[in-house]
Amino acid sequence: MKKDSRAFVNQLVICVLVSMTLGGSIGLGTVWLRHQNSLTAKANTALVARIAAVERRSDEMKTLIQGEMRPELLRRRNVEMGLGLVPMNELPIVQVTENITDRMVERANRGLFTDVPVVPVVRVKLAQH
Amino acid sequence: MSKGYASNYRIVLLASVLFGCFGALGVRLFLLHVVDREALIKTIAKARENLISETARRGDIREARGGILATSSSRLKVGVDPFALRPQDEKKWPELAVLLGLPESELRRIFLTRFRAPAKPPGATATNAPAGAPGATGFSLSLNLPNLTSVTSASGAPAEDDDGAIVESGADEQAPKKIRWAKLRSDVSEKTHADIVKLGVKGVYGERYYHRSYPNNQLGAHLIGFVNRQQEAASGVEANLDFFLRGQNGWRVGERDGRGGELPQFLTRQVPAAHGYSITLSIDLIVQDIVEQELALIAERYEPLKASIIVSDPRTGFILGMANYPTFNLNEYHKVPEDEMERMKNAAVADIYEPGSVFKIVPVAAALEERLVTPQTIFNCALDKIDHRGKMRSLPGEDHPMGDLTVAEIISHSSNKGAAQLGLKLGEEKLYRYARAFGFGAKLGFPGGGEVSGLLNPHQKWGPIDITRIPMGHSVSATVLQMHQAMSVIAADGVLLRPQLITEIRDAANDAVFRYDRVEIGRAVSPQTARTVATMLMGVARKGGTAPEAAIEGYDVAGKTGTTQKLIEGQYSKRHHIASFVGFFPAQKPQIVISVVIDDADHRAPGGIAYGAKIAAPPFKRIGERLISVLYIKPTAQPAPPALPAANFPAGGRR
Repeated sequence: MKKDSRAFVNQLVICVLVSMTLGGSIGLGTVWLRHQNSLTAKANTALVARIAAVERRSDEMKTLIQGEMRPELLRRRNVEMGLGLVPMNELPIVQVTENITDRMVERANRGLFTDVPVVPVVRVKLAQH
Repeated sequence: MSKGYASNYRIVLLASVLFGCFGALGVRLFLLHVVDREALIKTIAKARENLISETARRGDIREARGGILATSSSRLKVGVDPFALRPQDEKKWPELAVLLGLPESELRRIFLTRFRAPAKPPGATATNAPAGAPGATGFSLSLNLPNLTSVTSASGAPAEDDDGAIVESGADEQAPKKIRWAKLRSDVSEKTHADIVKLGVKGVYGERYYHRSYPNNQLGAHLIGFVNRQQEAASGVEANLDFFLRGQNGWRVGERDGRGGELPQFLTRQVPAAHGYSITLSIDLIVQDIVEQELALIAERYEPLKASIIVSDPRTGFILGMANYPTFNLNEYHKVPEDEMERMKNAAVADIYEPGSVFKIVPVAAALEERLVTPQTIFNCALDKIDHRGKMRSLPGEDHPMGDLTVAEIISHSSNKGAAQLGLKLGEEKLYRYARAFGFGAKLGFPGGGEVSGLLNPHQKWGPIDITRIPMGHSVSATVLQMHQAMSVIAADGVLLRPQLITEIRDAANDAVFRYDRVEIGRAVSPQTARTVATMLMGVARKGGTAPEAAIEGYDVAGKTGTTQKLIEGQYSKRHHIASFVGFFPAQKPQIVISVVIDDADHRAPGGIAYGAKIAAPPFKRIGERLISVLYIKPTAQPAPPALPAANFPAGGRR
């Protein structure tokens, strides 16, 4: 009888110790998981903040670019830098009244049946100072 | 069973201690979680709760080609907590001053001002401030107390004063208040802020906000409108479509740690910020620029009181360009003097004027539609009086004597007497009905806001002479946009379209939420009548018409001049006129309608009178010529036959 009670107490102690170990492990695991959660959440927040920062810089840059492209500034730069650019007018526009497809086919095949290759003539007018 | 290895006594003792500990823990947990639960939760919630608001970004306003007209970019209000400064950072202060664009002395003054003087009781004289003790950082910072009043909010929480400083509240009102945040600069860019952060001066930090900017300055100012310093949309599309643009601020509730940092893992509730929608306007940046250049030229040459130009597509009603002189810079709206606030108004839709002879398209189209006349019907335009329903009615005068004119000649030579006779033929009721059908006397639904309805009295209220004056554009007032849309009726085969300014609305993910399309208000006249009137209007810009100055080579131009005497102190002035030209081209297949209205340019006009043909028609031509290549307007394949038979009357009649 004495043996049995001692064995029971021993088993109880073992059970308690095992329970404590298990409980502790679960607790530690939970803490570790919560820590991981916290790290992940922080990493996510940092990423979101970084994305927001990039978007902000991108918006700022777009505004700057648009500001630099405003017509009034481009005109001023044209004068300051002596680029000599002029607004587009009708002169370089060729109005095509005939069938566009036929016209393109004719242009593409112009040199096909001749021995002499068609070389585009480029005339360059040099500025005279 | 295994043999035990411990004595009974020890085991029982160990077990008792263990159970005792667990029991104590259990009791404590029970007390914490059940008995004191509410009180503890309140304390914790108060100490750790963290409410963070997220400001929604206001949507962009774009032009038809995608260029940005209005945008919100992030800026920072950078300030300093003088109590958080470290002595070892002092050597970085000069560099910080350079980054902030502040004189170093000013930066030092702000950094070293750590207390704010207490609020002076009424009537109290200025007292010497107490000397400052060395700061918490351990280094001596001299106390510099500007003679300013301490500001705290009603709730006792720290509040920002006019100087941009946040002072700590305290029980003793007479004690100097600690400054916990003093503004250094309020418009720091992200890039500069990044440099400041890199510099690493502890205690200097920034508060982010969205700043509205307009990259094109004054371009399209009256259409776009602006957002004021209180972040309230004040005018234009900004105000009228504020609901879509402003978005909705978000917030999130979580917890913070002992240092005030957010603990994202304890986020409990979150409503993300819904950024504002972007608005795409039908305004074409190039067209708008051409229009504004032309207005600048008009202003330089004629120094008018004001001027407006509208360019639109008659097939859809979309406005491609609209501008007024004088104008203002959207980024510097606050610099407009108070006595010049009128320049911030979109005069093209908010101001009314007597349209004058341009209005003649209404009685002509109405008479043709009612089959009362044909283009060849002849009227005696030399009469002074005419019988109308048994009473003699006086006819308006002409600038030049005119004889018998066909209806086509009445319009191309702008005969007032002819227009009056057409009005008499129509009668009050029909003339009024057609004027309304052409869009006069009612708002057109311009989406840019600020629109007025003009003045067109119901025909029952007309005076005896109104039936002869309204057909020539007197006794009726309209906005420039109304006159523009009336001419568009002729260009759009007789249909009055709603003037459209917005093409689409896009959400923050750039997906189209809504697309606008052509909206018909109603049919004014049949397509046949509209084409007939268009053909007659072609005579205006040809040799023999009132405005050959508006002719564009290779294109048939249809249009009408107007030279309206201004009402000065109740009388029509002979020295103050409103010159206008409203027209479209190519006349047979209209692609563009242009209105040019110039108010009071007489003092610089040739001959001292600002005729529509001389002042407003040339800008029409110049704008039209430049738009050909921009909008790919094809020339007329075969020029239309002359709309007018050769007429024998004095040339140069201009109205």
